[in-house]
Amino acid sequence: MDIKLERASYIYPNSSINSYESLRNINISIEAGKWISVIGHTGSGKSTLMKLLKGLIAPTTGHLLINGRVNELSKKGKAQIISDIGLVFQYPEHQLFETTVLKDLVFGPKNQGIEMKEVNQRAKEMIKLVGLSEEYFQKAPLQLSGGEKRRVAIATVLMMNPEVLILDEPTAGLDPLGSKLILQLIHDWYKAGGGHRTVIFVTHEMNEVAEYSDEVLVMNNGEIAFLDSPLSLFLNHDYELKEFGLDTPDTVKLLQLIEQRFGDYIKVESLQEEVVLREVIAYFKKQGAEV
Amino acid sequence: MIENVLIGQFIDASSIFHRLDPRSKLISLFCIIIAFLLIDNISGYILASLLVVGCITLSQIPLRFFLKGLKPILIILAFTVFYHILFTKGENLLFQYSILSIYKESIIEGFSIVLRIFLLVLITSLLTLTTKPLDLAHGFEILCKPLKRLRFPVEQFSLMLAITLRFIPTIVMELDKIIEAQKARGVNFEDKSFVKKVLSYIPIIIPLLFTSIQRAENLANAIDARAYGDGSGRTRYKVLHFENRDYQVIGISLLVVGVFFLLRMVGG
Repeated sequence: MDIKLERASYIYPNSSINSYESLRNINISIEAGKWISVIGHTGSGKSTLMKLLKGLIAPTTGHLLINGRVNELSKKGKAQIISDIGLVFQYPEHQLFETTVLKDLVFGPKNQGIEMKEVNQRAKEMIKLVGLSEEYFQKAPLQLSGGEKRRVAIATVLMMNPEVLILDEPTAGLDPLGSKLILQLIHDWYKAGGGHRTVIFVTHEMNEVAEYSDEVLVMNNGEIAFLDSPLSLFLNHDYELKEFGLDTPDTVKLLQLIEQRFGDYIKVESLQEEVVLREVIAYFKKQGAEV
Repeated sequence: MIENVLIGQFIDASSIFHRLDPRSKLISLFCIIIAFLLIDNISGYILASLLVVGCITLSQIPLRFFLKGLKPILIILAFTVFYHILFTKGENLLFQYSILSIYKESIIEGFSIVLRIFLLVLITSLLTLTTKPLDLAHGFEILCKPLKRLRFPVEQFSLMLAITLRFIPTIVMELDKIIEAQKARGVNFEDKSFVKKVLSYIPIIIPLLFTSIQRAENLANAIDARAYGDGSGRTRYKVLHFENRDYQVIGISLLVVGVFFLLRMVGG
């Protein structure tokens, strides 16, 4: 599914409260199968943009296009929720309300009117995908640990079988291991789609950005500042990012440190940890070091 | 949703009401409420309406903020009118159909009660719109100090009041967030049937209750951690002072009570 925003802007109706989060002149085209990370300081409009893409709010001006067609209702300024796009909010575990995990999982698909047999089948797949077992079905969501709750909450959105998954800071407030598990499960889901699934991932964790994304969208004061590959963005625009109050991934810091110390710029194909470390080790070996 | 909530929503401006001491505002409000409860004839209602309109104008706060506060009580007001029209007995029968009988007095009674509630809500919102919740609680605390002798926990009560007022907008914002999230999970709030509509709110009420209780617990811990209730009496960063204008406003309010009392006595 391709998503496109054309000259879109959004101003909150009661502007006194949220005015700093409004969006201006957003032009963006998201092709199917991409992993896009969204970064930007707090209040730069990331969350608002995500709601716009899901159709929870309609652009004040401009259009939202799905597969090249204008989302009809969005033209009339009315919100129309797009069911093929899954949206995981910040702290999604706060939205669990049923008495058992299973009931919470089937809640979304039931609203979509999907047959129970199929829904139960999906529930079994999803609980496995998020790294839990079917024993969890009958537990109360409140009994689970923070990380488990978060995984169940993400599963409730995946249960609706979206083509595009939008996640708004899914790892916020979790310990490193919990974060890693969440990222892993999202990546597994993404890969299982065979190039048809899209992930839009809001985060403050630059290492996550470098590791997974095809493209990085940088938001600043309600506008798109950059849309670029992580490699080109972090290596060519690190100064501007610093101006926005944003960090760079550890791999970039390592490359820059080597450049400062030894005056050599190591060429890399991506900023993934494994790739960069391989190149760095190769460089030092060439210099005659024993690694 | 947030724009419909009035309580605890302070609007900054520089009107006379904003500058008054919260204590004088509370005393005056108390007087005005008594005055409005004394009304029993048409001239009283006209005078009271003029007074309220005058105060709203002086407050420099846009009228829409007052009107928004009235929205949630419209159903109660409508119910009041119908109740009076249907069940109050009078002398001048206007209309009768089997057991249903409507009197002229009942219509007048219904609408005058609604007008009275309208005026009371407006004048009360004037207080909450022009006074910061914390100032209000502070003023309230000082006014209630004498009750301390009766072992009434005045300070705790005032803190409780301040927190309640402060957290209403926060919880409403939380509510908005939860509604959006559950919409994203496919909840349909536009279902026509009443039962379905009520049921569709369960996914909202439960998370809201849960997060509110969690928030309350955290807040209680934070207050404890900042040594609340550890020593003798808390001091204040901001100390309230009565000024000339405060005495004047209280004087005017007492005068208003007198005028409405006279109006009732004269009965014109």
